[in-house]
Amino acid sequence: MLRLAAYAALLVSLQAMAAGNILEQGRQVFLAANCQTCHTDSDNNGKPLSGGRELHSEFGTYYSPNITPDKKTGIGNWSDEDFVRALRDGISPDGRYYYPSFPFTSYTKMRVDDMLALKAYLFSQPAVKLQNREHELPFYMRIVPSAKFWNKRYFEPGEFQGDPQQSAEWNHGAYLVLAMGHCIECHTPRKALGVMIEDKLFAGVQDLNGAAIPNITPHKKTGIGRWSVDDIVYYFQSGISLSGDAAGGKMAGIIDDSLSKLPLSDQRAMAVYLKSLKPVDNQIRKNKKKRKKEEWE
Amino acid sequence: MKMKSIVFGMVLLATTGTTWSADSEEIIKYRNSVMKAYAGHTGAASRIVRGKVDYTDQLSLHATAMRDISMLTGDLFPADSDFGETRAKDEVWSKRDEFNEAVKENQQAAEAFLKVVNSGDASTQAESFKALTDSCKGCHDKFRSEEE
Repeated sequence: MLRLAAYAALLVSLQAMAAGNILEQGRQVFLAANCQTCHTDSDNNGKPLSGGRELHSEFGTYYSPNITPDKKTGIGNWSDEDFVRALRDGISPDGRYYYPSFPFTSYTKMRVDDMLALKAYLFSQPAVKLQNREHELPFYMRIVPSAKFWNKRYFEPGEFQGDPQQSAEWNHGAYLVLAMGHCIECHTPRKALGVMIEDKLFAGVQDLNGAAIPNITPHKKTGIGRWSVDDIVYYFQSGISLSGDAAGGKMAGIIDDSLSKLPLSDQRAMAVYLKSLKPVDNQIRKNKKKRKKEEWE
Repeated sequence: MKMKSIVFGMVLLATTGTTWSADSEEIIKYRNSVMKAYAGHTGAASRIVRGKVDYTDQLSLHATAMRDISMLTGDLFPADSDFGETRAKDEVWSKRDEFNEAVKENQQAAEAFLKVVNSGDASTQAESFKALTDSCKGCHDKFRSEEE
């Protein structure tokens, strides 16, 4: 069964190579890595991939950049090396270090051929002229080279390494979750300086705005232990959780732009990988914010 | 019918002035419960539609409940019920036309799904249910806060 799956995967990749369809490969990477949601200011009817979407964090407000092929305001002048360096090393073509609001910490695990296919796909999209907006950072981060410090101190670049002990499906799922979907970035609590808490990877967090980002480890009581692989796949397709609730907010965007558009085999592989994680007991508290009536009168 | 009169009464109370704020709070609690019931029927129906359980004869019950609840939801957000423990975004009130439109889409999708279920034609069931849950997601995306 395992060999059959590996053979099928090999056959598929051979076919893709034979077709030489780098744009299709790039489109798949684009969907799985979900560039769309963050690089489009959909709340303000922004044009696709032209950036400007806000990301609030305790380390300031970040605005996603324009990744359309516009030569002046987008990435139209980037070479292949520039693009790979940005994703793999977290460094921009002009040598500046990115803040980890851009998940190069996950994308570094991507294979170089996938990065280049993604670049080809992005360059096939309409160019939009829109100047990038400066991040709004707290004073203490502006006076020191904080992004460079963070990168040097906490970031380890390197491609995803599979586990030969695991099935081809598991390995594919791990690659999709870790190198592409970057689920870990939002679903993991962080300590000082935004460093992930090692023993709570994927275990959920209550974010700055009070949103409960769920524990997606297979812990029976506090995570998704009761969800079957099929239930997770169904959630990716529909946004309907085990309780019947329909996703909203950021996760609805991620489902619409990315997860629901992936092939079933990808959705299944991701679910299989998530179900194999070490269960972490981490109840995400719902810190109910009470809005005062007086504010409305 | 009785449900409708209760809702109507509460809406009336809520709109007659600020002295009724205690009742507004009751509306918010009631609204939370109704939406949870909606989700409960959605979750149950999803397991039948996906073939996870064999209770196909109960699908009509859930589809009917979903349709009926969808008809109520618009009335559960009267002015003055935008405070306290609610995840309803300000846009429910500031973009009321858009909100009403989203509610209407949800009602139409729920009505369509009920028709499909009652027709006994299983071939379009999954597709019709997907259209319904998409309209739930679409409304939550715009009008429900992520804050708990």
